[in-house]
Amino acid sequence: MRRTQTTVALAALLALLLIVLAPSLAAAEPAVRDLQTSLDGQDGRRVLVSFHLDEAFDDATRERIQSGLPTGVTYELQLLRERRRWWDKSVAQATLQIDAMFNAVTREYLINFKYDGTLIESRTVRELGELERAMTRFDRLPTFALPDEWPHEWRLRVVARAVLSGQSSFLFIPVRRTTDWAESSRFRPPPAKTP
Amino acid sequence: MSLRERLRRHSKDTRWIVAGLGLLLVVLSALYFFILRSRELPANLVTNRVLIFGLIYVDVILIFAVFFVLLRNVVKLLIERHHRILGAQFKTKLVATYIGLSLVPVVVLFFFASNLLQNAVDRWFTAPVKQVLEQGNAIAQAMNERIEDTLTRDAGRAARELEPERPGELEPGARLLRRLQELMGELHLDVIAVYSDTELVSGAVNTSAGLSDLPEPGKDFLLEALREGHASKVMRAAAPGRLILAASTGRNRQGPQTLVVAGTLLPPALAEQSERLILAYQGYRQLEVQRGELKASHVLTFLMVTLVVLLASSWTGLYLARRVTVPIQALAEGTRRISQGDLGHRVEAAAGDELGVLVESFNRMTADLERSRDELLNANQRLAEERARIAAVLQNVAAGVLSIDRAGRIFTCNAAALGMLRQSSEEVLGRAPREAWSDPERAKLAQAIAEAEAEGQSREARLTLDGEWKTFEVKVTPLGGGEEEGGAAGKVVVFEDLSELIKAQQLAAWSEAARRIAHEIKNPLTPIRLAAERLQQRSRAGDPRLAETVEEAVEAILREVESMRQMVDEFSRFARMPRPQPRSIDLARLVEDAAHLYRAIKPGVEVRTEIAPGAERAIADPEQLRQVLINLLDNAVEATDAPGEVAVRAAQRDGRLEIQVADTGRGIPRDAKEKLFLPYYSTKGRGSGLGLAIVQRIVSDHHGTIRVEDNAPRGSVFSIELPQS
Repeated sequence: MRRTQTTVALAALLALLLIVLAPSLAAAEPAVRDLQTSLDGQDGRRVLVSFHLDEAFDDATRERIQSGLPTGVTYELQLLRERRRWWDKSVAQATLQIDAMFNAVTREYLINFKYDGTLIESRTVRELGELERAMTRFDRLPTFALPDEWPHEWRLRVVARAVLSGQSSFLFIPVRRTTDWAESSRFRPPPAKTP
Repeated sequence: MSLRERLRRHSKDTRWIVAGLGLLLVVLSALYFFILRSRELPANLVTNRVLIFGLIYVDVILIFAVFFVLLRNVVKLLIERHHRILGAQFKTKLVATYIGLSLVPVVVLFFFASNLLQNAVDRWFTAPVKQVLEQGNAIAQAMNERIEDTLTRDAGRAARELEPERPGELEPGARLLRRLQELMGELHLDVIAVYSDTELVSGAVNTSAGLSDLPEPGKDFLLEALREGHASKVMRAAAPGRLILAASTGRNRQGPQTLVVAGTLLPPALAEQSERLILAYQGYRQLEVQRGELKASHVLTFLMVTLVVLLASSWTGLYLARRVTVPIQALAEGTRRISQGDLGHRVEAAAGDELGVLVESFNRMTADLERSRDELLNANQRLAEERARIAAVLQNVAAGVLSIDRAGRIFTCNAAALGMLRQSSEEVLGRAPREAWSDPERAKLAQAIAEAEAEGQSREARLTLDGEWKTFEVKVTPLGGGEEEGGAAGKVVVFEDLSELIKAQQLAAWSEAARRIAHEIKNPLTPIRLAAERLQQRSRAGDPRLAETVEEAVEAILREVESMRQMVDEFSRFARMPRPQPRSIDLARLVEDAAHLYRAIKPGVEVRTEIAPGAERAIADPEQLRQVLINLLDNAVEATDAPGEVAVRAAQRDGRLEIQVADTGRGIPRDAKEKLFLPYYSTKGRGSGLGLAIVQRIVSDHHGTIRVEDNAPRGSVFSIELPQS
């Protein structure tokens, strides 16, 4: 009898967990994907970053954007050196903040791009798909500049993650959704040119 | 923390409480104002994340504050209960009551009200409201789209008209501008411009509509039109109202394309109405999207108010509980101190209500107790001095004095008593009389004490101590203490050594007896001597009447000698009285026979007997007892004048036979009573004076006692007690 009760209690607990967790399990989580790097500039010391953010726009986010509420995605990017047992691997870090707001009167989406807090571009688009692309797809984005004396032999990599705001809440508390860190493949900067 | 410090802090708390309540009033007023104005605030401010976070932080701080206040007091109470501090249980109940009274209603109210609030927010998003706003927005958007469609058609027509035959031949010039102005008039446009790809070629505006410059549609717009073949947009104009633009390309898709942008300026009123409809719907959608945040904002604000009220009410409840419990704890502490003997302790609790009265009464009671204790100490001191004085006096009095406590043990005994009894204090003190005087001789003293106490009068005890005869007169005086106090608190026994006095009395009695014997002997000697001298005188004178004289003288001498012989016989009989032979006798008959002898002797004097039931028989020597009765009756009848009465009563009492002979005669003077039982003492002026001495001797030989008292209203009573065991 006691065993039966325990089994029933466990089953009820499992069912409750499933009910609570099912939506989050079913919903695909946003993730930064295809993080790639390339070097540019006359001496190849500028790091260009390409990536895209998948599953960032769900129905609730779209609804929020369409309602005219400001919605943003912030990308945190870090340039790391590949050294074992090196406690401070960070070489440089950058923040790309993209805020979008819909104007229902003009039926345009205003997108502001800020790099480390500085507005670098403001753009209007008329289509939601275009807005999503503008906010989630980046191709050869000039992100980091390597110092001239940076050792050639040190290998580098870039990591990035996205922070989505205003999309979910726990009870009364608004929470930020943060993706996992995505990693680029390792790369080595070209040797510095002798003057 | 000491009680004094707590009380001082308690008085300081009052100021804090008043200040706290004032602050609470200000905070609640501000919150009330904020809630009233929240409808006027923009939705994005109410649902602002910073605001929500701020509210959450404030709420969390308040929750911690409430928990801290409650937990601190609960822990304090638990510690006080653990240490069994007086008043802790009462304080626990009071605090629980106050907190319960504030906590439960506020929490219940919060849950009900927050539920109501959430339902109210949900009701904002009901279907009818949404429908109205959606339809309003649709109408506004439809109007814009219709205008945009018309403009697109007009721009397309203009583009087709203005499109050159060969691409790139569109040249700016007065002719083109004139044609644009004509088209603007024909098509009722306010703006018309022609582009070659994205390069402006020429344009015209309706200045009468308030436009002065050609509007800049933006490169994105132009590119979209070139890409899609047409595009439209709404934009702000330099003039009042809103400008709707539409762009359309020509048919030629090769080379630079001809793009015409046509625009019309919506009148300000129409533009404003349309914009309001769109913005209202957008605002509604924003609210709907932020419904959760909106609820959170309101619920958190309400929670904040609730927590502030809860904090204030809990604090106030605890403060009120402290106001009650602190004086009570002070009283309990005071009680403890006083029970330990610190009567100088005073409770210093600042309370102005009934507790204040209680504290004041307590302090007054303590002061009274302290004063009473001082008085008691002084009285005890005086008592001790008095006792020492009395002890000193008692130690120096000739009489033996000892005191017996309620339990019947001797607890004081003066030196005279110890000297009389030839004992040490260790042999006497702390023991009962029968235990202290267990030997047969001293036991008589214990017996005498018991009898004296029972009868309420002095008794004599005759005993032999170390071969010496002793006679003690014992008096017992009970000490104070009524029935309600469990009877007498003890008794004081005073006994005097009468041995020397009795010896002196006996000596005096024998002197008197000798004097009387001498007198009695001298009385017959004188007639004998006179008779002898007369014979000698007649003989020498040769008196012829010698023979006659001899006859008379011999007769006188013989008579006097006979009288002397009788006197000597009586004395001899008194001296040689036989020991009594007690046996069971018919007392009633004996008394009646004796009384009968005197009934007819003196007319007018009645002699009667009263034998109580149970006294008909007694144990005594019948001959000796008859002599006692006859002697007493003889005296009584003689002392009683007619009309008078002599009564003989007999009764058994506590194992003793009591016989009384009472008369209504002349009575006996006080000084005569002391000598009454001495031999040869008589108040009658005749007889031998041995009658009552014989009576006393017989009674003593029966181990009884005899005493004489005044009879009421006159006369005397002789009482005899004889043991019957």
